[in-house]
Amino acid sequence: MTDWQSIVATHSAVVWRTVYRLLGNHQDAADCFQETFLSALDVARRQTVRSWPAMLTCLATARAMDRVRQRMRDRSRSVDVAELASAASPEPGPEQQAETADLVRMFRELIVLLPDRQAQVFCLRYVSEMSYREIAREMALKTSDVGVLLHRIHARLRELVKPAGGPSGLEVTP
Amino acid sequence: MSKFEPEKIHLAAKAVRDVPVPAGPPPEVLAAAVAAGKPFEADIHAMIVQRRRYLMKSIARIAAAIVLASGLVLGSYALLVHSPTVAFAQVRDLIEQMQTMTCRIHLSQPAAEGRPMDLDIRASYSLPHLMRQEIAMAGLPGTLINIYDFQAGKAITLNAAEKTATVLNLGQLPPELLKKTQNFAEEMKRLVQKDGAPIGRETIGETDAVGFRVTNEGVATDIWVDAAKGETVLLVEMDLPGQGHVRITDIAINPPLDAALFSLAVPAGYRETAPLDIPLENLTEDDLVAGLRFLAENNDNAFPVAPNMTPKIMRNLGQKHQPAAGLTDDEIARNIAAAQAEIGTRIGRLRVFLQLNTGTFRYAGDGVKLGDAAAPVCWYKPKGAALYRVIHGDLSVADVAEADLPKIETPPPARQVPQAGPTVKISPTEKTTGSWNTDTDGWDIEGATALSLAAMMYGASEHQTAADSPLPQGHFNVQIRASRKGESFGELRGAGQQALVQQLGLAVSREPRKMGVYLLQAPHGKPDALRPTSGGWKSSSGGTGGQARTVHNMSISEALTPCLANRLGRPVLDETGIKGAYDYRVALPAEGGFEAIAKAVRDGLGLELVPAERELDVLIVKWNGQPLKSGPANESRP
Repeated sequence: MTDWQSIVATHSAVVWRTVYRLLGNHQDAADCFQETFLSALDVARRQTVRSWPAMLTCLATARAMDRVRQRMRDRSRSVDVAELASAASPEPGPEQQAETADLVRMFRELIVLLPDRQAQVFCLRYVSEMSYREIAREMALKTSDVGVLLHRIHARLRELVKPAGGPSGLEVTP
Repeated sequence: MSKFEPEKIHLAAKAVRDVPVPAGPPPEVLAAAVAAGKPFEADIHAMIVQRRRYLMKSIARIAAAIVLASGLVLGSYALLVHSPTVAFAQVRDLIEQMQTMTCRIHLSQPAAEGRPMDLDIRASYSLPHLMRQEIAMAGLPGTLINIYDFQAGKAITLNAAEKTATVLNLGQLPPELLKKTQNFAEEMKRLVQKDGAPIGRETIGETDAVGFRVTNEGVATDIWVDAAKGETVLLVEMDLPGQGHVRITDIAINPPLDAALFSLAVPAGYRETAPLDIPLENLTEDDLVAGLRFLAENNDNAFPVAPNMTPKIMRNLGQKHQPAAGLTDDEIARNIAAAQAEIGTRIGRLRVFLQLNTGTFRYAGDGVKLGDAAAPVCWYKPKGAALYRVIHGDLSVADVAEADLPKIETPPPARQVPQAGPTVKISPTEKTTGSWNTDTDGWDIEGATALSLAAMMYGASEHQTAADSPLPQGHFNVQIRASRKGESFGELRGAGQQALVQQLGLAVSREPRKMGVYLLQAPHGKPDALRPTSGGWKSSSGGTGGQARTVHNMSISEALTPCLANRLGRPVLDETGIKGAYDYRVALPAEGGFEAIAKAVRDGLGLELVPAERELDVLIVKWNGQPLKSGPANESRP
């Protein structure tokens, strides 16, 4: 097995999981998976990779965010609600499934309203559950800056979702 | 219609995390990802190999530190146990009053796979218990600095190339070992009364020297002293049976030494790695046996040429501890620290045990298979014991009377037949693009001018090298080949320096001179463009043809000033006062002189370049006008 085969085999699961969770769509996830490894190849040929899983998670998140944005621009493609509805915890009732699907969709709609870098940091922290240190290392930030950035993101999100009627209020329609 | 409440964002993130992920990716997608990398496999492989090499070197470096830590008083030991003879009262007086000492130690271990593990050490001692070693080791780039406080049982190893510092906790050192350093002067007084057998006269450097051989506990040591005055020890050579040859030169007794040289504090600008516990206390025979087993197991189940690390063992350990491609930096760091601690403890305890038993220890294990109950590997006599302890290939230990010990050849006299040194060949070339490749087999330099050759051979910046006469025209290729015995970096460089004199007719000296420089200043303090680094590998790349130079985890003086000096053709001195390593980028124009570059630095980094004149240590090169020697004389063998 070559080094590259070994890298793809070792990290395919984490990349797949990252892109699928953010996209919730099989075809998009497959495309994004490919794009992630192509980006990784490009990075690896230019610089030393200190941590493949962290680098791939970052790239996968960034590529998935791109795709979510693209999807938002093209409203004709909507999230497969039925697919998301099964996202609930064990044996959820229909009400809980609907609520979970709502939350997932809201998350995606909100996150694309953030600037690229903020969206990426937010996903890395709360979806991929990377530590501040890992995020800082991969995104060339100071560890304390990650905390500051997340604080700003929270403030921005609060701004975005403040009660409907305001200028930047967001109402989510199922 | 439902409204989204801010507090729900964490619930939403959890919901995304909990999205059920179907098995995947599909095999054809996976195969496509693998196929995409096919054309670049060589690049990826090279990158991974480079990283593994780096990690192997990291293991090797700490091994070197430990081997030397366990050698402890190697340099002083030679003078301590075998001091000059009664013939030299002045030397004796000097030694009796010795408080500090500096010397250069060359340790040549027996060749393994044709390559000895040579070490060049610049050692400084502040008696009774402080020692500093600056080590150049074959196969390892850069200098390793080890500072020991024997009494405190602590050491620090500094990697000057990577700016890392590792504290070694050695525990309480064996009292016998401490005694050797603490009672240095007393022991010297006793030992200087020993008679040495004259072994002749020689010219060492430019000094007429007389030599004496002192034999103590079976170890022969040759001491060469200034024949005219008898007040300078010029050279000490000794063989440690089965372990290698020690050559000590450049000996200075009682030179003034700055206390900072022996500080165990982590120097500014160095990154401290996790401390390593290498306990060297409570040593027993079990440590000898365990150390020998460790060496044999990592030497393809055979005992090595000497009871010490060899290039082969280091390579095997490097491979054994090679990180898997997918590990994170933290996991890799943890694995390396564990490997370093294991190597340090095993080898450290073995070496200190041997140090305590140097007088009676003999090694005959070269090539003995691990498990061979019939073949003796080594033996020694414990203090106060009547019988020797003989350790066999299966690591069993037997009590043996001296008369029944295995017979081995008497160690050769310390003074070795001078070995052929490296060969140096200088030839003219049409090539004008310089390149310099070095490894332990030799150096290959292509397309260098006489001035740049002088700068390379003397480790100077070309911008701080000046010609005081016309120099040979054109460009040159230089091949420096190690002799079959192998040479250290310093010896290869020394051979190159000599060839510059003999073949090119260059004379090189250093002197302070005023010269035009550029000062890099930070008039507004640290600029925001210098981002705090996330650590990890140091890198500095790009910067040519209008590309931005991208620097990661390096200080201004490590990356930026050399780059600017290359572009500006003058030394650039860092007067920013900004300490520490940063991540930064600067786009230097593809063309343009000082003004264009100064503007780029100002706009990109908020730093100012100011022309000035400063007195610097300059390498001065002169040429005696001789043509390049050709034909057979083209090769120097210093």
